[in-house]
Amino acid sequence: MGWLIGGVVAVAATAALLGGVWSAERGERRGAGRGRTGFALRGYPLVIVVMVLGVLLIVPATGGGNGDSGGIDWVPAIVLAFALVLVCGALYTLGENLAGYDPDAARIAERLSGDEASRRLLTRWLQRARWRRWLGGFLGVVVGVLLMDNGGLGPVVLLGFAGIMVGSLSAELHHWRRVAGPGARAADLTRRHFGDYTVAGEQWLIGLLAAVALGVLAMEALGAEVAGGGTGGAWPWAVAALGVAAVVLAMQWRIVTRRRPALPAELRRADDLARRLAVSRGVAQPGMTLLLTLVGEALAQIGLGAIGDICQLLAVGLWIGTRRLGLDKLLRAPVAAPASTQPAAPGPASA
Amino acid sequence: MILRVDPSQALPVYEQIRQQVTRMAVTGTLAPGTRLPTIRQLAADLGLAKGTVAKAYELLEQSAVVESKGHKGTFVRDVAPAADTVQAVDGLREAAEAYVVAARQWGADLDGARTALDDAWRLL
Repeated sequence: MGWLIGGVVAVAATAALLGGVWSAERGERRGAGRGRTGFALRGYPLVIVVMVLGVLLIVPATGGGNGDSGGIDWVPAIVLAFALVLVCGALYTLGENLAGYDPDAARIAERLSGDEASRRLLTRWLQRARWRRWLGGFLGVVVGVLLMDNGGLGPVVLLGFAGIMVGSLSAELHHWRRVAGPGARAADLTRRHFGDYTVAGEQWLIGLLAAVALGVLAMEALGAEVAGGGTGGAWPWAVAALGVAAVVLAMQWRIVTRRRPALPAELRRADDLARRLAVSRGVAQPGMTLLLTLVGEALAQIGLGAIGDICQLLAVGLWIGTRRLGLDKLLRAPVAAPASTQPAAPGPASA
Repeated sequence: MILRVDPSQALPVYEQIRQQVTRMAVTGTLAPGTRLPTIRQLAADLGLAKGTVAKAYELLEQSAVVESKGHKGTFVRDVAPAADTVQAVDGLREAAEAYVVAARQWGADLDGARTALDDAWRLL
């Protein structure tokens, strides 16, 4: 009986409180500039506190109403309730992510631009990029788990990173469907330079990793072996790494040159910012993560296992540092001041 | 430096681009040495085929308004050639003849045509 009551309380508490958190966040989205002060204690800590209190109150009332608690297993009831809270919370978060619910995107956009139209543009890009990236990674991990036959985490990590990459690319492919209408069109004659949108360090690392992959390919073609540990199976990894580097560069060019009609100055700056974020955080960083994994595997195949392991660790570190585009830290920054003189734009046509 | 084109007009789009870029170069809106967008970028921004923009750039290069420097890009030239060169004299005469024909089609007399020319010259 105690098990049942504990479970019911846990599920009810989870649903009610996470629903409350969601409502609070939705309310905050509607009310500009308000913080999360209404929920100082939010999320799992609050759920767990209420769940434990519920178990403590309800289990004695139903199982041992006269104070005799000898027939109730308290510890399993609480542990079960705790586990159920975690499972329900995880399922709730999963559902939120699958549905593309991302209230943080609007808050990040508020910190990136002071102009309302620009915020809308950036919010749309952030929501799309973060959601596709998450979805790709999730599906990659699911496929990786299905392929994981010998207990190793290799396929999970690799396919997770590959999924993130594919998701990130699909977020940018969104623009390829756009076609111009039949009427008059206008465009700025200012040339957009590729280098203005990229981060030099990232481009160098991508180039370096591609060069290493090329070197591995050359070594294998020449039959050379390093440290006597080569297995002869490096070329698929090296070819895959070169392919990833090529796709990253091609997509970056696409993002820089994709359609942009004539826009007001404020919106043009926001569009430039969205392009820079897409080129660097959207494409280059997941590309670097996947490249490091592939090159690490290729190096391990030619007997450089230690360097390969370092590459894999760097990939995991990079993924941790760039999760959700690495922009969540902006949530602690102050909101950007509103633009004073810029007239409202009719609506973004890009990003 | 906003370029506007309308595919629904009778004038071909590449000609619209050529005329506007020429005008910008002549009036100094586009300074000599300014690098124009790549064909791909301008075609994407205007929602046109790359061939259309390429043709406009080719015509601009033929009329010495821009010059292509290979992979470096397309640059605006100094479009103020000496007025006494044979090419300039011939070009001017051709343009004047075309203008006279147009003025007479509109029923203008010589004074009216001169006034219109003066106005256009001042506005440019």
